[in-house]
Amino acid sequence: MFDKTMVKVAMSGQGVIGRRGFLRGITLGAAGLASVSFTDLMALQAADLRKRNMACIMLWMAGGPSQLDTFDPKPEHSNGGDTKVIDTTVPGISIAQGWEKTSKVMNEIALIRSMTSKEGNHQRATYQLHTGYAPSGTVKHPSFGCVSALELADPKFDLPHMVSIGGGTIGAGMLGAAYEPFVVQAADKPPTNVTLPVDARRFTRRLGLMHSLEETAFKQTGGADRVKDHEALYRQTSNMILSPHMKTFDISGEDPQLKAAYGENSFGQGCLLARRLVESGVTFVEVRSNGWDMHDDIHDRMSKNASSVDPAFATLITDLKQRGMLEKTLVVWMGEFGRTPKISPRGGRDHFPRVFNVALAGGGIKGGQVIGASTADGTDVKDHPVQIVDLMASFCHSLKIDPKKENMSPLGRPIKIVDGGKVVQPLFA
Amino acid sequence: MIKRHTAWLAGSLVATLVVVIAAAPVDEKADAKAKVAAPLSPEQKAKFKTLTPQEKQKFFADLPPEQREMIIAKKKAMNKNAANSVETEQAALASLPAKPERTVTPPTIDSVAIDASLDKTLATAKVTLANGTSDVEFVRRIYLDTTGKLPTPDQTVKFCSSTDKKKRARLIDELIKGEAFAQNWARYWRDVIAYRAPNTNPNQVGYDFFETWLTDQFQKNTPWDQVAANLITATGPFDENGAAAFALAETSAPVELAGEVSRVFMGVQIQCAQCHDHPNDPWKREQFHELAAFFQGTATRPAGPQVQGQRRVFQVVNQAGMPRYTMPDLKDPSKEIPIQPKFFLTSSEQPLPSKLTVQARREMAARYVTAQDNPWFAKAFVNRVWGSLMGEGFVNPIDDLGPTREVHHPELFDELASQWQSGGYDIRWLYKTLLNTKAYQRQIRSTNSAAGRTAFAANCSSRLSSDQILDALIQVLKLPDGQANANRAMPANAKKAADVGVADATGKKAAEALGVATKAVTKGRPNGRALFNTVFGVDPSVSSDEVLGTIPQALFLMNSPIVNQGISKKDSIVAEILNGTPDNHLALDQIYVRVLARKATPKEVTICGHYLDTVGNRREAFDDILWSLINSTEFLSRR
Repeated sequence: MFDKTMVKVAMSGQGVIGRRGFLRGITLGAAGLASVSFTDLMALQAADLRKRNMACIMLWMAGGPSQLDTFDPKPEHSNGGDTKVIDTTVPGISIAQGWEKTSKVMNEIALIRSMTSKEGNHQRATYQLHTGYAPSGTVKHPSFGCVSALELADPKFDLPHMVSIGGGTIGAGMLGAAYEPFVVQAADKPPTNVTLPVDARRFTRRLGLMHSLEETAFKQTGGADRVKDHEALYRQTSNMILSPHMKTFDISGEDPQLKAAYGENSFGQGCLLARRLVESGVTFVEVRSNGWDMHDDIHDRMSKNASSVDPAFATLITDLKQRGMLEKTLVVWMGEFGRTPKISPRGGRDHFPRVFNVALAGGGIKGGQVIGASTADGTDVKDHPVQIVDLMASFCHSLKIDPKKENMSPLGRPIKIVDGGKVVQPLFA
Repeated sequence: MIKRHTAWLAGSLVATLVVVIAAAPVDEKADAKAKVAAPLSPEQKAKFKTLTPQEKQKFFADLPPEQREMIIAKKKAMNKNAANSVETEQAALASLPAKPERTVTPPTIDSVAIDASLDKTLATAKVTLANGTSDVEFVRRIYLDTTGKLPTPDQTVKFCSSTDKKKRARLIDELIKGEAFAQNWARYWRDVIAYRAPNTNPNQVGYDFFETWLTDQFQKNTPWDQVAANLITATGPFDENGAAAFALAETSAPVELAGEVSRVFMGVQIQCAQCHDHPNDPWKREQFHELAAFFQGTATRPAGPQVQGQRRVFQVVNQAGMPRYTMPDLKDPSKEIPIQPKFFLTSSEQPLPSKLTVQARREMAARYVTAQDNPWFAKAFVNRVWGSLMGEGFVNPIDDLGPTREVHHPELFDELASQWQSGGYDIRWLYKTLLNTKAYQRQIRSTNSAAGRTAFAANCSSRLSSDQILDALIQVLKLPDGQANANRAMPANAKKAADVGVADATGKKAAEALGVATKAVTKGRPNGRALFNTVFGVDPSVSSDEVLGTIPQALFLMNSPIVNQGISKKDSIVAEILNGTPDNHLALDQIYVRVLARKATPKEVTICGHYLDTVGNRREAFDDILWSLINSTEFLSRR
């Protein structure tokens, strides 16, 4: 009954061709179709996708982490500052001190030291590193997390497909509300408004009352389309909050030793929650760490930030590995740009998109290697420049998403998941 | 306001000091010519550099008066350099082609003529038109579409019981003159701009001042061409000129301004031609850049330094001199091709002088866009208003008019837009004329009926805007209403602006209650309304039938303490109604009129009666009924 192309048309997201336009475009079977809601159609299309069970956890260092004080230190050069280097489990790879725990799992990590872009503005660069596109007034590009949700998620799964821990992030844009990130403010608190104000029995009774009132009234007086979508949304939302999976959000039952290993701080616990979410079936989780915009006192501020991110990053990798999840979970550590090699009079480093670094693990990534290099003074890429689109194409490769697939913008303009770019092949060699 | 200015003055002088010091070598030369000593000694300069912002202010205040004056004079001289002299600007503006005379021919088309034209075309479609709305249906729709608020129970009852034959027309007249109408539509346009703004930091835009400014324009019924021209040419700090928000939202960037001026004011999506010739429309890449060239030299600047505890103000400035715009050469990316400003939609214009100041360029852009020989300008506005009131535009999406799009009722669209244009862009006239049509006053139909699938054979239901849902909740639940002033211009130093939010929906708490990022949101538009908007807001340029609810919205309405305590607290509206009304049916009607602006249908009475019996606790049952109505589709919909 449902021709695939018809479903695709309705699927093309919020705005391509509305329900009205959609139904008008169909001369046959309109009456039959009318009994299926817009959201049902969306689910139908999604069910058509093969489930690949791939997932991604992105550790977002908001503000732009310094490459020289993380994974591309320059101890031989004055630009390196006071930062000392430490050896890792991989001979020949050294990283900055403060990242001791990460150094122990370097065999799982691939470092790209030759990331390069031109965007030095926080908002615009954040948008670019999340979507692969420069911001524009024409199209609101979806974040890669939301694209992954669209491409990979099982629509029957009753938790949100894309979760952002520690604050909001770039949203689903033109993909529409169904793929918006679900925001969790803090890992140690339940997500907002998921606690029932009344007992579950009464809650269900209320829903039932609402349903029967709608059926007799608004549904009969011209509101049928809206009632159907609304009911689908309320079904989805109430399924979620009544779902046994909701327990995933509660990290209190985790092994205290593991909790301590992740770090008893919001980022550490956020990473633990991210692992739990992916384990239960969530496709994409972003965990946010703030305070990387270190224009002054970078030395002290870096050691403070590293003290929470280093153990969390390393423990996440080990934990995923032990659970046999690492191969199917891409872990990404990155921020919106790097920082100036020369230390400023204020003891800080300013925005520097020309060279920055990214760390990747899991999801088929070959660990224990460094890709690309910066020059001795850190002011330029010396070898194997990697653009943002190349990084995005590599994410796609890892998660088995077709980067050339197009989603329709509201104006009917096809937007590729990644516009150009080449997979950084050595990552997967 | 005065207090703030004093503070800013001190602050901005400190900034001057910083600049004076930074620019020392150049300044010393200039000073030598003018035979004026440097304002600060080298020791003072060195010391100044080590101070914190607060200390800098004190340092400035402690300077000898003559030194202070010298710095003030320097500041003035520097400000002068930020723009061309008045004489230069006047000469530049005088060299422009003469401004075409604006004529006003009162429109002859009226509500009856619009209906006649629609009916004629609809007759050929052979569909049964939807019935006209009942008074009950009409009163809720008209209040929401004009004031953005639900009618109060009193307003509903008063209107429905009136026997005046002209009561609909009279109510329309009354409502479109009110401030609520102006504010409702100002918020609509605020969202039109905000949802596509490349500047995602609302701090730097000043949407609250924009809303206030536009509310004022709508209330004065300023013709749309003047409103648009003001937005296109605005300069100054956003707290002094709310219109500056438009350029600030576009980061004052020529390509962004060109794209949005074209989309918002003309419904032409020429920005697709930024990188290549437009794929579907005839626009050439060069034409896009010729439009962008009008905005070269527009810039965003802080209007003063960051002063702790105060909100920072940003401004739009026109840079001095004659700007030069270039576009990248696609054949050789290292090259730039110089581009002169030229307007792509009206061709028979006198050529522009080769040298134009920024102000003159923006002025010309505004003239071309708003001129009465540019049909797109009128069509874009008419299509938006029509689309908002009917639930569907003549052209959809409502901000993409063409030139080669499918148009419903093209003759009517042309006629209406053209008469409104030659009538002098009278906004209130347009609303009044459309709201009085039978077409507007038809019932809604879903797409499972022929009328629901045929444009304008029925009205289309749409989801209420974020502001409307919030106002409805405040009204229905009697939430403490600090909102009246919350979104009016706040004094820029109102760091506690969060205090004016809704009940618990204030500041950080609200952010948590709504599930949004506290920092990102409270910084920019620090009030409960703005926070609510981050969860419930929707881009008004998206077709109404594609706006679906979201999980956080459903969670908020289902579970948030704001809604649930509003229902179940001891002295809630449920308690008030139940205490005053022992009869369950009458109490039920009161709740229905309050929430949905109608009485319960017989079936609903039966269902609720049954529910009351099952629950066995009157208050609990009525709490649940109110909860169900607030969570219903109907409450969230315009119908």
